[in-house]
Amino acid sequence: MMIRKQSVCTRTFGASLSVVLVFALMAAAVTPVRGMDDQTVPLPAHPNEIVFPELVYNPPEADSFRTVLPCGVPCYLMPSPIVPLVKMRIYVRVDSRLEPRGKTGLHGAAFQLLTSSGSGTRSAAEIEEEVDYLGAWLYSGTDGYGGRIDLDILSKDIETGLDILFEVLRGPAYEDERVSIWREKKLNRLREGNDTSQAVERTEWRRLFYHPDDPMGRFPTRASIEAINGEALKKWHSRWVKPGNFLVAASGDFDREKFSAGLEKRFSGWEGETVPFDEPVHKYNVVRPGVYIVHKDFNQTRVKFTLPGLDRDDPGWLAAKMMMNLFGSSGMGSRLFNSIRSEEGLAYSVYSYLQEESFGPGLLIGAFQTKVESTIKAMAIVPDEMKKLKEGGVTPKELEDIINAEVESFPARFPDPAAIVRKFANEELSGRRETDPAYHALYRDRIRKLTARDLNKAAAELLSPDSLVWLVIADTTALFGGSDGNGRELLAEFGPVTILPLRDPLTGEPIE
Amino acid sequence: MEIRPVIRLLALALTIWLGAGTHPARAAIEVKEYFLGNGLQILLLEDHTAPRFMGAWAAKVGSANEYPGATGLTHLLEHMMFKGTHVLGTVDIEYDLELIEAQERQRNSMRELSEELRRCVRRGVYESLAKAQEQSPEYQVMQAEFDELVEAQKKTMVPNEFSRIYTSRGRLWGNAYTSNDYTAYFHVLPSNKLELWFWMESDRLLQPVFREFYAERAVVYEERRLRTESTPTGRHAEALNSLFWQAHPYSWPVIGWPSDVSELSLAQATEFFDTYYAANNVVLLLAGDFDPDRVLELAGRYFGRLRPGNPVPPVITMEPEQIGEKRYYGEAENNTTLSFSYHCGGFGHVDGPVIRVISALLNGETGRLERNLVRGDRLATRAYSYYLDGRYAGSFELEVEATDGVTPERLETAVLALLEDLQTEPIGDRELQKIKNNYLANSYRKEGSLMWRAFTLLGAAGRGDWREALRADEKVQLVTPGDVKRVASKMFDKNNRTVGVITRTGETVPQDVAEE
Repeated sequence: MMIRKQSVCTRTFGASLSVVLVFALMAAAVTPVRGMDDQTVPLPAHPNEIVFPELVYNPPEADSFRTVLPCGVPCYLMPSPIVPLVKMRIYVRVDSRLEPRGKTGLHGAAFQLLTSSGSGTRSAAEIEEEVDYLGAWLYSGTDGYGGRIDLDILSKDIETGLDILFEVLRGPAYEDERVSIWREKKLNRLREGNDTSQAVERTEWRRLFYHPDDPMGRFPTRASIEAINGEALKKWHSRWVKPGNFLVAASGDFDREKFSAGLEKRFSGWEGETVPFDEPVHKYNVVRPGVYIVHKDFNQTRVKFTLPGLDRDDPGWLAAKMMMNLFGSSGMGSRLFNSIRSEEGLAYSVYSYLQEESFGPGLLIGAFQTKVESTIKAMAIVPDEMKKLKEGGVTPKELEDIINAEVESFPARFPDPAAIVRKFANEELSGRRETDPAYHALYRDRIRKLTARDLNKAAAELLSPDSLVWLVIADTTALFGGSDGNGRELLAEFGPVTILPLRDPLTGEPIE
Repeated sequence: MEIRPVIRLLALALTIWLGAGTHPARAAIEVKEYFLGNGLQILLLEDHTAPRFMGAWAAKVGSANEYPGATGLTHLLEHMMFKGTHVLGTVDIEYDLELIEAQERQRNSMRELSEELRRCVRRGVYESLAKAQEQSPEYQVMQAEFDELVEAQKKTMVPNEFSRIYTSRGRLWGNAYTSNDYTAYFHVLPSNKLELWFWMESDRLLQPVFREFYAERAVVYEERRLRTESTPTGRHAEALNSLFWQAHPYSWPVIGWPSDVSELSLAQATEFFDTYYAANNVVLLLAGDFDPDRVLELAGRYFGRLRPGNPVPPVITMEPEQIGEKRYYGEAENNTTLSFSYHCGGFGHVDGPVIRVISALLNGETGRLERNLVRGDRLATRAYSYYLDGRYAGSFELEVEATDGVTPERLETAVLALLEDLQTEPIGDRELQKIKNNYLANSYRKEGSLMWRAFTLLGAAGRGDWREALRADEKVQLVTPGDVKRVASKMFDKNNRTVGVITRTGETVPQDVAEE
């Protein structure tokens, strides 16, 4: 087979940010490539016959990129001059458990507004205009580890970008007008709380499993949103947003020493005692196994099942994770996917996984969506597959495949400089740097050592059909009636059936 | 392959010419294009920053190539392409194919009966075809016989073997998607799995087997329920889209109409595959860490086996000029939302860069929508626009969510006034420069993200011209205030728009303070 080269790259350059363009297009003649038309060598009859070259990959080491500024702020800095950009994230250790009573939503608001509500010297609009003119991104918000502030900017503008970032980081104005607009937007998001069955599922699942003192078990209401004002936000900021709670991850086109010095210069002189807080271990409710149903008038039922999970520091964690990959976490090819989707055609999305919490145990979760008529049939497959795995165990082929999958895909955990430094930052925030510093270096060996016995033990311990808690968002009229009018009785075979009320998303109170 | 050193020299020369302190109009993205003798197009984008590559291909067929009665076929075919081949998915291909043939004979009988039942539905005897089939004893017997054939086939099937092979060899990510214009398949693999990708993808193009067809059709219907029917505004969005497109095949949803999805046949899928999945209508894209010589060698050996294919049927229908404003009103469990749709040029159209600038002018924290409607007049809590540059036609879309208490009428007046401004007042140099600066910065972000670059290229290649992905950023730098005024005046004409108004079900529309 001949390969013809049609044309090659185009590159365009200009002499300033605006106009001058030069277009270079090259075309080449037909170029035969050696070996290309050699069809005499038979192709492998099956992918199993392909011999793959070894992929030698050593993961980056966190210590190579970690530095602690003289002011005490730990930083992961990875210079990478591939493109003239700098990406920086400042993490702030704080979470919504610390919100005062009656002000649920304060933590989120404090960070969402941090970069968009002005500073002591300039209005929000002036700052946003300057940032946008530079083609930069400056935004802030929250994630599982607390607050975060992101800057993504052309390297030529990094000094200006850092000045702006620190201007708002050190003294956000929380302008009344911006807070008021935030409130309007937030209330409109709350109003959507019952509009989709997905939103109902998300809220009711959290309400079911997480204690009201847990961040996941707390819900903003109209009253709590309206109670958030500039004063409360400034108080939150001054208590928690300070260098003792910071961690920085930055990558891109910069000189490490110069960049560190620039950060130190901007952090210096920022005094204030750091308030320590406990590791965020989730507080769970005790939930009786059974079926919990919320009525929602759609032609598709959402089903979510939950079991107790495992602490990621548990010695059996990796075996449990691999067992779950086999059961339902690996998408197409997992046992649950094969049964519910491929064989029966009952659902489009089917998954289950083990939550990996940084501190303390998480939960084992699974979900699918199916038409009302097939809800019970699809539900029945879940305990059946659990029993099959517990009784039949993991086959040698399955074990080989899931171990290969995990080991071979390992390099993908480090796709680019920004992802690498953020991974290291998250591991420090989540405590893994301290508890398991060689985690990445040893990961593949630990996976390779897993046996079928390890996975079978995990299945025996975790997959407990009798303990399943089902959350079902469905048209109860259709579901209970069913074609034979015995839907409720059939559902009761999965455990006691409890009807949960739909709640007013603005108050959290049950709707009559 | 001798050309490569030449490329490097060219890049170096231009860099020197630029000098210090200057900036390219966009980041450089180096793409190499090849064709096999059977017409297959190959694009290569090297990036050695991590030991992985994305192997992707697009068939230049989308829902726009479908016909009434077969809407959703392209998307269902995309699902079927994961069902295996003569080698993968079964331990006994002869038996497997026999069973599929027997299933099809049974299905043909069921289809004949369904046609009778459909006539009954049209006469009002049954509420729907599904109900009619459910209530027909004859149909149910046939269904049971069919189910037995499916059960028999399972004995020799290896479920999801195609996907499991990828997963077990370290696939990092993989999927497929269908659009109005093209269908794309992609996998991100460790760089030592190059040959695996060539084996798998060429095999499913050479000898696919559409097993479990009817179970997968049911899966697709569940997808339709998930994305459309069980959402507050899904069906309104479909209705609005069909109102907007009067004649064009973009008028039907990619996932297909309910009546069609539930009746699509294996024969239709096979014919569609034969028509559109040949070398002349497919483009490969490899992006990431690979040796291009090795890629070309493997491409020749594996994909050189594909049949060249015949020219595909063209999409003939063009949208007639809209001659009056169209409006749609609906109620849903949804905050009051307005949408504005305008016909405009599609992929590669000369107005495309200007429309991108118009959209950028409106969007973002400092864009006109946020500045005027959200922060200024406090009429909206969410507002954004986007440009859909379809291969065969384009549309400009704008959506706004009303602040609680604001009437749709008041919000509409404000939106239209904002669009009127673009037609009458030239935009300032600084505002335009800001957009260009953002395009430049984003071109570097794209350069720093393999996936961003790869999907941009794949999208353009699927719509017929990968070079457009590179040109788009450059052309934005040439847009003038006069261009914006000219295109806005043409596009935002009243007779060219379709307005959708969705108000919350059962909610009395409040009177605005200003109107009281």
